[in-house]
Amino acid sequence: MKTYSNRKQATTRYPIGAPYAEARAADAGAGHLPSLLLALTLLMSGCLVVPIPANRLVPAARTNITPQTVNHLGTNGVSRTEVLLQLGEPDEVSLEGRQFRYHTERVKWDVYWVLAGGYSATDGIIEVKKLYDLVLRFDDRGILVSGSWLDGWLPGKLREKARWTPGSSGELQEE
Amino acid sequence: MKLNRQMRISQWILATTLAGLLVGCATTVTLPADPHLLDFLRDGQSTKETVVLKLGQPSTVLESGRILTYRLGQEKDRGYFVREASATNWFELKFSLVLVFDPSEVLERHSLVEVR
Repeated sequence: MKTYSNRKQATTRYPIGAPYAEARAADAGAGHLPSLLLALTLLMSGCLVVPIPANRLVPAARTNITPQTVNHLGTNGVSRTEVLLQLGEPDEVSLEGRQFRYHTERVKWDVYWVLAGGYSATDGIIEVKKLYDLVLRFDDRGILVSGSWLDGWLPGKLREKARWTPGSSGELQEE
Repeated sequence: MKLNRQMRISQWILATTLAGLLVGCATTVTLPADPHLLDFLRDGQSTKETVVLKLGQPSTVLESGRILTYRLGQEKDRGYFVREASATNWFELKFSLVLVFDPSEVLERHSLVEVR
């Protein structure tokens, strides 16, 4: 029996370009003030919110897809069957099997909150998850023609972060 | 008139009771874990019929039934178990079994993909 393990792929880091990093750092600096004001307002109104960064897997999500997965599938005439044999059952299949969607998610933040009022207090933890999709598209003959890596915070609102096509030298291209 | 109304009420009660009983009967049965669950799979030998009889309804049927997939879990020391076809996520599961059949419905290739 042929067994494919993708554990190594799952730990691969996704390279981020320097210009993007600088832009993100500038955005982060500008975004501090509203967050601070919000935190102060909540604190003064008897509500304490502490977000703790995390990066762990969700127990119900698959772990064998990464942005680089498409690079490991091969470049020349990869069939739908070969994709299935390597990645397993997709989380969603479009009509006539022209598109496969593989989905995963990670907990990115644990938000601890305490709400105090009078002589009582309530608390809890909210897990903030980031959602990821690998979308693979096939032609009429069932040959892989393109792949996209999407991420986002809300279901149905994921944005494409990278795209792969056979014409782009077989490597994933950042958007 | 009054008799009609009583009959309608009793019919409604009967229908509700039957529906409740049927819902109770519709619970899914998960096969117990078995370390030799997949030993029968042989490329070029196993038929689709044998596979479905042994593993039950597949979670996905693709390419007009040429490809079947199953979602499997693995219990420590007790082997593999098949999750019912209606499962929508990978909670407590570990593998996706992909079975590819030839036109005569004999197993051509298969792979046990570690998804978690």
